[in-house]
Amino acid sequence: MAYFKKFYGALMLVLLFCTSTIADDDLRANATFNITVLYPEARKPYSTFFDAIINGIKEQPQLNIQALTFDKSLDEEELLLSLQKTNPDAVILLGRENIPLQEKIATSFKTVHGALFLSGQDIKKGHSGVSMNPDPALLFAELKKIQPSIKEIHVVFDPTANGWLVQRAIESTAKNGLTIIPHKVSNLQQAALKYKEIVRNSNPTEDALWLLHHDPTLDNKSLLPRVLSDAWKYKQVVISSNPSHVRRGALLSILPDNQQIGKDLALTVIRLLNGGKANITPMQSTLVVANLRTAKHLSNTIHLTKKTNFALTYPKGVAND
Amino acid sequence: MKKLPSCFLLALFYVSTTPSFATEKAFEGLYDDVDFLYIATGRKQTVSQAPAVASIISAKTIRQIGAHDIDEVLETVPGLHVSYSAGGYNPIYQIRGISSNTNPQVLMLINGIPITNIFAGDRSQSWGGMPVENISRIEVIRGPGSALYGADAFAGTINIITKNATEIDGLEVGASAGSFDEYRGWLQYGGSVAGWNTAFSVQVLDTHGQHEKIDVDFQTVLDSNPFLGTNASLAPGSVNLGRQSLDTRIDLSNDKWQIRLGYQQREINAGAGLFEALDTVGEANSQRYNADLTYLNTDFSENWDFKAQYSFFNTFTKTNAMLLPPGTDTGAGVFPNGVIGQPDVYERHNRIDLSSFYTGLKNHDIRVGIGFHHQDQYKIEEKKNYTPFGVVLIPLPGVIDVSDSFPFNQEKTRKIYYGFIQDAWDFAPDWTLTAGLRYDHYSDFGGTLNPRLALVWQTSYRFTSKLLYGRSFRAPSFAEQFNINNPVAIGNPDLDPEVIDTYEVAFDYAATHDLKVGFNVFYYQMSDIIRFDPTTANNTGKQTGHGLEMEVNWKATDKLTVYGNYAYQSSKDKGTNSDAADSPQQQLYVRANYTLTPTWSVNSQFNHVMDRQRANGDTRSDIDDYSLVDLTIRAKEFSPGYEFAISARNLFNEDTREPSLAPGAIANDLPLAGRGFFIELRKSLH
Repeated sequence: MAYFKKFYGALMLVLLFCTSTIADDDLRANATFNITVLYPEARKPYSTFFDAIINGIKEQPQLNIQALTFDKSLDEEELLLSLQKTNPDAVILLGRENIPLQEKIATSFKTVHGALFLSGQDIKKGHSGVSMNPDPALLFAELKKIQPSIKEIHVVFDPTANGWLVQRAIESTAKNGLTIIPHKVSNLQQAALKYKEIVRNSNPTEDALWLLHHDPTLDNKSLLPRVLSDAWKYKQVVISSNPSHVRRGALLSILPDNQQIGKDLALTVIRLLNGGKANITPMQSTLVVANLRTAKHLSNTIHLTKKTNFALTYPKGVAND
Repeated sequence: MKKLPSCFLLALFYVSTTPSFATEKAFEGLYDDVDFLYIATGRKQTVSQAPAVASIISAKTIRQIGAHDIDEVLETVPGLHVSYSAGGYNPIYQIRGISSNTNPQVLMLINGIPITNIFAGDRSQSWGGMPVENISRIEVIRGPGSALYGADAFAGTINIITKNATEIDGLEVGASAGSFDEYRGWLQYGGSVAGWNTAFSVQVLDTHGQHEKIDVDFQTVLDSNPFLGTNASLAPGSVNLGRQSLDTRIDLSNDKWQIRLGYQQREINAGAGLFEALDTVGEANSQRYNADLTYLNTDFSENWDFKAQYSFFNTFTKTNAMLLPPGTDTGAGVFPNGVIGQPDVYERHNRIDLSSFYTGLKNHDIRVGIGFHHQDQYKIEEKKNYTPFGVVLIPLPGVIDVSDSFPFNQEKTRKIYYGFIQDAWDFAPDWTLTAGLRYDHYSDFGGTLNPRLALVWQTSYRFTSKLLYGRSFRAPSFAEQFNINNPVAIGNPDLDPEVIDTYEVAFDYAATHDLKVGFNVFYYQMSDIIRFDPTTANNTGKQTGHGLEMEVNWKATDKLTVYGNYAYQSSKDKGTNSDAADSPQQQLYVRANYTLTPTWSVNSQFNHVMDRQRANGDTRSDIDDYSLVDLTIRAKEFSPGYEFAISARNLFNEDTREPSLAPGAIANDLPLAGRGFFIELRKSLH
């Protein structure tokens, strides 16, 4: 009986604890947070980019948003004072403008970064945010749709900049029959040799090459044209995190979906305010850009059935500008 | 329309002075291509049209070169030269040596919808120019397009795409002023209204126009006839190019629907005169209304997209022309007030177009479509003070309404049904064969079938080769079919369409990402060319032509871009076995844009027009070559939201002339503007 009493008491305690936690969570889930979004002012069409992100953030009903623009003429002290006065629960910083100011804000407020490329160093610094890098899992899923026979994806990268993204890619592909073959390099020269080696040994139906955005070991002027022209020669499938590579001959990439970036920033803030760990995630988007010329070159292996579902295709007409 | 006081235009800038500051640096590396921004906010696109020899000129280039009117932009396209006719200085878009006074052989579209006037087959008898502030881009196809666009996509097709809501920076106001008492003003808005992407644009122009001298004209020729004994010519005198125009457009769109409305108004002076005799009092005005409703569903069903469009276009042109000056006498009596003609034409067009794109078949992209087009020339009115008798004009007691007695044309309608299919077949790696076929049934002349074949070979990573064939037709205009009571130009209801077969070989070479080269050669054969020969319209003419076009696009540094093109053509009138005349056989164009600082940039262009021959029987010496240099200096964001530009057109004041009609009543051709300076100021308000 004594055991039963103890058991009963313990059970009651557990239940009480659970209820209180649930209630607390429930309370937090319904709480409204005051968030300030700081973004650089710009002209159209560039301004539409921030407008869309802010609209995405505003879709989250738990957040009460105040959006402020900042530019070079801004009085920093005034901004910091006004932030202290409004005392938001967190600040979302868009872009990489005025880093000293961003750092000052980060000392007094919880911050989340968006509309920029985040690197391994940012993770080390404990930053939170959504990087402009598309989620590699999305990129691979699109590749799988039009080229199901691909088994291995080679990536040449600088580990300090993009190690985190490659790691994420490795984790995401474990389940779906793809293997990431990472090639760590530290400079352009090493990268050039590595790319050459990969293309020469590549099997066009089973191997693909994944190019990264903002990797210090891939230079757009000298190395990229060589990588892409070699890929053409050997019929190597190239996908890229950088949509502009598609115009130059990569098969496909993912365009930013700014509204979605906003939504994800809002979730990141909520998670952070609910005690979650600092976290950097790549952007989510369904906007695929494809190079149809390259697709035709690879036409023995690529099945582009629903071409109209691409958000953008290249090549376009000859623009004389 | 009243003349716009310049102070009003300048006042536009002080509507509001909210400061803004551009930090486009924030985007460096985020968006390498501005296209990505539009896509991120816009609708998904459908895949391309048939391969063709085409040029695209973007709003950015239009702004950089300091163009005010679409003709200045079109002149930069290889193989296209803008000439002018005497009456109102209406433009003649000469493409690859195909030229005629009314220029119905070029199809102009606004957002894919033709603006052809059925009366003369041109854009308007009082065209009066087209301002460029609302233009997002211009796509120019040289060569045949009837397999896709139907009638009149003959020598070439010019498709003008207007700006949508994402391309206009909130509220934008601007004005320019300069030589020839030219004032322009514009106000545009782009944003979201009640859930609809909304773009609105209004543009106004008021100019006296250039006033170069015509030294002898058609009346001078009459005056030299001792039997007539007149001394009436207004030559030497200046051309009359005063113009006022208003252009308004609204564009509303959401995910699947788009509604566009437009209203344009023109008032133009007589240029060098409809009869090639100076006309100081004549003017023509026109009003144009257009509306279209488009439904586009890119996910209509698995493998199908679907587009449906209804469009409406109503236009009328009222002319009050002094065909010959006071005191003239053609042999049947003196006209103390001159020969007066006041023809008015009213027409409306209704169109329905349904098309779909099918991608369900492996290695095939199939586009199919059907449509209906109703053309209605619903009112013809005319007043005049003469009655023609052969080439002699007999004076009437005054200006008399002849609309019901002996008008110049007739109220007529025409129905067109059409269907088309096009398949792009990737039959081997790097090879695509596009085959298209369109059938148009006209209620007057019957059916016409126009094929298109394009073989594209992706020769290497940097090189693409194309072999193209196409047949196109140009439908007879109502002037050519139904002109009456005009002894020198009588209509013929039994006309067939003009036909052209074109063969092209084209190459694109991307030497590097920053250096691109295009090259093509072409050959064409025209038959059944409609001419008033000698006085009744008939399918009599034949013409052949061949030539080449090349263009180079070079981004030399981050700050310097250079674009150039060269075109050569030789076209023969098979009837006379002589040069087809008037078009330049060679043309060279070079443009450079240099960004000095983020604020300041300089743009200069050079255009050299060469080798324009006279028509058979025209004994004048060939038309002189000319070189034009323009210079534009631009300051962006020199103050928040402001942009300023100063530009010089025809910087070296070169004497430039376009050919007058053979045999040369205006013996020394039609002079174009001398040097002119313009300033421009714009402000965007978020």
